[in-house]
Amino acid sequence: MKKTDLKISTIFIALIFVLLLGMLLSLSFGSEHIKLATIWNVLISQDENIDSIIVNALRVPRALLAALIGANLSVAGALMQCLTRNPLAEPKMMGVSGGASFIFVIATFFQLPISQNILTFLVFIGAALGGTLVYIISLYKNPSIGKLVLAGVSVSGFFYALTAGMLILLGEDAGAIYSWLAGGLAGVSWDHFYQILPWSIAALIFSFVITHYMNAYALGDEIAKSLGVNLFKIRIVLCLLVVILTGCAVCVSGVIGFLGLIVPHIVRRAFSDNFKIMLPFTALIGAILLVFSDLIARIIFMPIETPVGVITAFVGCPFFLYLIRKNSEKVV
Amino acid sequence: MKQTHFKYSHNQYRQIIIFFISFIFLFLFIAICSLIGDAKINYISLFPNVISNYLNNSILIEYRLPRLLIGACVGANFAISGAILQAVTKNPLAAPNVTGINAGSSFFSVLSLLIFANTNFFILPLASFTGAIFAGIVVYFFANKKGITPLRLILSGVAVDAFFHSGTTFILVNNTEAVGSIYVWLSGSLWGKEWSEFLFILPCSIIGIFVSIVLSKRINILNLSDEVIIGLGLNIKKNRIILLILAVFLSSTGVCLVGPIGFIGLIIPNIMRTLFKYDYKLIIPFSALGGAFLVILSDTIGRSVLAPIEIPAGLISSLLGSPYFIYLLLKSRF
Repeated sequence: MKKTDLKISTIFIALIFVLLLGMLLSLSFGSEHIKLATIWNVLISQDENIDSIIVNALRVPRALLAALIGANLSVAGALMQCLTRNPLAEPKMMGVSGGASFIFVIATFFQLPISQNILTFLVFIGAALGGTLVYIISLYKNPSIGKLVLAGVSVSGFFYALTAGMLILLGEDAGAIYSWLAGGLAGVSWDHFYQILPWSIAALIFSFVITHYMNAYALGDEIAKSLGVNLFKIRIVLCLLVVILTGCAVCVSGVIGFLGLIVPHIVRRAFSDNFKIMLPFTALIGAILLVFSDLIARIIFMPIETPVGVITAFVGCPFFLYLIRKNSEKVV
Repeated sequence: MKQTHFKYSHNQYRQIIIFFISFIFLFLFIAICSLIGDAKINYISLFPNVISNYLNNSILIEYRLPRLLIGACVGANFAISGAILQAVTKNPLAAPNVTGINAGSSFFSVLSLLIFANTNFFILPLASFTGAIFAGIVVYFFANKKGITPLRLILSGVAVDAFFHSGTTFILVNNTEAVGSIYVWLSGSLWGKEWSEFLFILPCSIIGIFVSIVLSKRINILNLSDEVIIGLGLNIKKNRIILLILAVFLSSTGVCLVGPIGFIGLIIPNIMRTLFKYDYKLIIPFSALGGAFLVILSDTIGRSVLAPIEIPAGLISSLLGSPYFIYLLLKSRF
């Protein structure tokens, strides 16, 4: 056992370096190329030259946010899959992102006079609304995977129609809003980072703390009960964590799909389905994937930015199809 | 899905009469809806010679009538397409927008709109049809592993839908100047439709409806269990493929004109099935009528509620349709 522990921690540390490398690259590449060798000097210098502004005010918060949001969405996916005991659960497909972005669009584009913190809180409520609706519908009478997915599709469809209707009403700048809806990290700043940092960190740490209970819950209702887990409590806690993690992500980056679906699956296959090991790896690999996706999204069609949600969907959909075909006996 | 025991009731004449009455009522409905809208019509001036005054009113004849007639054709197309898909997959929750067909069709349409800047009347429907067929084949391939299960069909449909959807987004974001109008089209809108487009969709609809009514007996048989179908001597695979191509044809001709109007193909056949108990000879013509009514209603609501701003009919139909879909989900034992 000791040996595998050592191996796993080595991989973990190696992945941290990969993440750091990705963030370093994303500081360097972009519409304005800044040489890797000079990055460090730019970072610590106090000069107000263009390079320093680009790196310190734009790219550093962007790289940090990509990592944080990647971790958020992947962990949210893992928690949802645990909660529903359904390997295909994911925040975007379960209506959580739909509800959150609906509230966000109402608040932002009608310019409601509220502070950033209250806005974050309202988005959480939207996320909770979407998620709860789907969850209740899928549990009614005969719960099944198909019911969950279809409930997700219809609830998201409803919220999407409302959102799109409002956007058409406002009738301005459809392009920018469209790319926001598609999920993107363009134009994020330090403010965004500080806005979601406390919530995200708290939710991430809390989900690492309760992995013990999640392991028990994953064994099934009966066994979990006999192990002394309060089913109602753990469900509520998991729901809240999903809502906070997803809400934070939507606040900043719009709807980025499929990350929460792929990452937990990769980790479960590569390492372990023990949540104690799985959850930290999920957070880390999610962060790595989003940092690199964002990098690709920025440089693939310079100077136009592709929404990062498109990149994750291009990777995620084929993976999803592969899962359906591969696990057809077990899952579907 | 329940086994079907359709009996040919002796009062079939009654249903034919009901159909024709509803058909006439559809035209009355179109005429009434055309009077509602942003530009006010002086109703009193229409009297006493209502018909001749109506035909002389340029707003009605040039703007509203063609779009409503196109709405009727498109609604019929989407509804029949949904009915066929549901019968072939034996799944009451299948529909062109759930199975990825509409998304594939929109993706190829947007692509062709950008490649061939001058929208040719032949290229767009062709692209739309190709996209729909392509999406259909992909979904069929991934859902088919030792037979298709309804669940796998839905799941792969959702994934293919998401894939093409993000493909469309990808194109739009890289061509920002075109976004505004295409975005409205993507939400399913009847805005700015003309008589020439009606002349394109009308034959498509008539052919589609005619062929589906002719094939409705086979649809009834396909709805039975596979053993029974083989016992009745029907080639399952061949008939399934013919019907799927028909469904794709119907929905893609709709999509290339007005964009994907969601939920029509899902709700209407389900309502009709509760009324006519799995007899597709009746479900198909009545679905056509129901789809036409719903699109016209959605368009009229979208035009008039927040005038002068127009809400695309597709959004209205989604808002009306998704709660009903959720209700179906709650009720079904899927």
